[in-house]
Amino acid sequence: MRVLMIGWEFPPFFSGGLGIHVYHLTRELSRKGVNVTYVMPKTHTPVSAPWVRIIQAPFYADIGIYSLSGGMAVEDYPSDPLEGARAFTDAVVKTVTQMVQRGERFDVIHCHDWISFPAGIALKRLLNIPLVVTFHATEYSRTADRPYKPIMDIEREAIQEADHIITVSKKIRDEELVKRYGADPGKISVIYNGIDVDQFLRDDIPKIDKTAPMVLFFGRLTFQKGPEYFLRAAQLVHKVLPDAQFVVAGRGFLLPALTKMAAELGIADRTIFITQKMSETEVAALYRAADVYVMPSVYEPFGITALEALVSGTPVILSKRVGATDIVHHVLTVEYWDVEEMANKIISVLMGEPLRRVLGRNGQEEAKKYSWSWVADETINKAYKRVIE
Amino acid sequence: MTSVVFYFQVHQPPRLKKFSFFDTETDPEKRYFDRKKDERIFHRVAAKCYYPANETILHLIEDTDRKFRVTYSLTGTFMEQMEEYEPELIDSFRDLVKTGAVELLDETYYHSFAALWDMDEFKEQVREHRKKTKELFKYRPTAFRNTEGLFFNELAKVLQKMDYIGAVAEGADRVLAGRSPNHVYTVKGTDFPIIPRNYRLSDDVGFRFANPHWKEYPLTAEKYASWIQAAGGDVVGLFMDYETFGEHMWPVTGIFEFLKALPYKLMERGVDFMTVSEAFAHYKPAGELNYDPAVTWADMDRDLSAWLNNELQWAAFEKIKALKSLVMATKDPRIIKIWRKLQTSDHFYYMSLKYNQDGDIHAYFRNEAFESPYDAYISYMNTLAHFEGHIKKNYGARARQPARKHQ
Repeated sequence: MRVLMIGWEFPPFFSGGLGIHVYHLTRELSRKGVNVTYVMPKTHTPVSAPWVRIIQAPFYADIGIYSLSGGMAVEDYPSDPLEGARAFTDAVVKTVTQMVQRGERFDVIHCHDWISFPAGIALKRLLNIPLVVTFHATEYSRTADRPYKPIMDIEREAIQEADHIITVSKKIRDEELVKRYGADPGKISVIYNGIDVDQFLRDDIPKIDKTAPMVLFFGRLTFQKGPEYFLRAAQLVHKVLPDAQFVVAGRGFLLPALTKMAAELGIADRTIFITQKMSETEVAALYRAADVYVMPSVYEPFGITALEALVSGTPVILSKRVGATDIVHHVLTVEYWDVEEMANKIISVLMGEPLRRVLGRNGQEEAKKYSWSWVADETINKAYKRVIE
Repeated sequence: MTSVVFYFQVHQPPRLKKFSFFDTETDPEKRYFDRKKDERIFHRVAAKCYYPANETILHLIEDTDRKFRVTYSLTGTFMEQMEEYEPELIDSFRDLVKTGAVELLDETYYHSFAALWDMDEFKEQVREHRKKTKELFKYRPTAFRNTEGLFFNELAKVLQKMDYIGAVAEGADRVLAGRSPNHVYTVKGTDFPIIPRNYRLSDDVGFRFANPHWKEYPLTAEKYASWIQAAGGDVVGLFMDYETFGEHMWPVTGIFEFLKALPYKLMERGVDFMTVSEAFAHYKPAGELNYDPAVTWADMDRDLSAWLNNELQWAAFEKIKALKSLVMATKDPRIIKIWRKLQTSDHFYYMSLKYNQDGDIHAYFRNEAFESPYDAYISYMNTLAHFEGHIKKNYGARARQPARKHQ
């Protein structure tokens, strides 16, 4: 089976779940004998991985869509993101057509999110190959109900043109694709994200020396991730448990506002901002050190970090908007705006055994099931095999 | 001749609020218990189940010239809510009792597992139940049914000393060890008789009746009556939640039509009806049953695993037990009452993490109280912690005195 995969992120250049998803998916697909060619934009330092052929189309993301320093953030959209998408499409179509002219063949095209959709649609028509598209998110939800119409149009066209659609949660399928875009649910498979289980279970993960119970937020500092709700809950927790320490790890344009907010809430001395880029090992150590991991996202199509924290044995509190709540049961859930209940749950976890132990142990066991190998199997069986007939 | 003993459990728990550390309510009763939710649910279940089911049963008794006979037990927490939210329902139950074809059983007022850990506390709760039953129905029960069917050999001795003539218990496979459930038996080491629940036939109605995937679906009164006749023996114990009629099984499933037809179909086949105490008077024990280790009527396991099977449930149970001396030292009936309402077994049931075949049943009963077992545990434990603090703060001097045995 030969797969032509198109996306715009690949570690170390990525901003969110898509890059991680592609990285692990291509690796596991290749382990299962699938031949994957991944086409993405050019980066200053070439990207490579031993298990996948990566073709970097001659397109530099110098117009702001793709920032090499830390990937793309929704808030960083330039005035016309379509310009970048068009340039990317042209570059990909040209590169792939040349490959086919040289005799290369593909059985299926697989695109991830809207920037790669136009190229996928064009190549499907040109080469007459079935098209699979994965929605890691939609424009509708990325922008908190203020979608940029031309991008929605691209997504709508992809929904029409694709032979099969993958979403990373039931929420995206039901509340977005079916409800907002009128997609045919019969053509959609929900395939959840996985995690690199072993990476978080290694013995050599350093132990962070801490002196107080630690409550962790880890994610981009954008409205979508809800860091301000985390701080408001932290203020309430502080009233009951003055010792508790709050760690906000991540970068994003809200950082100045959040530091100011922590001071105004009177928890500046209990709040630590970690803004440097962390290694995988450091992230794993941070999850382990945390007494509770909180994901107060306003919108979260899946939420890979929730699974990562779980597999690290850390109790997790998730916003009900997190897609992963479909598949994990040993977690606490809360509405992101209900900061009082969020605080109640943080306090409850910090205060007592056996709750922490039971949540940690059961959550870890459950999260272990969601490996990338399982995601690759699902992708082959539910999507690729279905369209290659 | 085979006799059917119908026994219906009627229960509503005192539900807890989602505990908040930031609640400003100072009255513990108001802060802990969700009376609004209790009231809402009570009105709904009364309309869907209690009134129509009582009416149906009353009609059947009168229409069969009192040949149709049933046994109930109403928990104290149910009777309390009935008085408060649906006082007319008391009359409806009184009408049933007045027929003479209805027996009422005693149980723990608070639907608790006090029998597991403190027989003094257990007896106190049974006395309170007896008092309430007398007050509402001028009725003195002669037989017993323990919370969720919990039974063990030692309990038989205690009940005998309390002058009960017998009890109902679960007819679990491991207790019957191949024998038929359809007889009166004595409990090992005593001459105290029990009627075992025929769980297969009971659950055909209580759980499977409306399940379209069940191979016997739809279950007609005719078919069910033929099974009972075929089952034979002396007494067929059909014990189930009263809420099966109209609440667990909605009217649209045909459960009321089934109930209305069943007595006649049974009588056509020569099966008659007895209440629990009548069966003890009429049938001799067919042997002895060993109820150690303890048995309940819940889940596939028929043991305590629905309530006391994970670390959270154990921690919660230990905590409520440990509060006894502190609570009793206050000598404040309001505080003692709160503590007992916190013993209701439902609180522990909601904390169950069993996600197997029984999982859906757990979720069904839990959903109206809490979203997840963890939420149930959190609210319960935070409530207990607050309750303990409240007692220490407000009853400091008295609460610090060595606790005396509660009279």
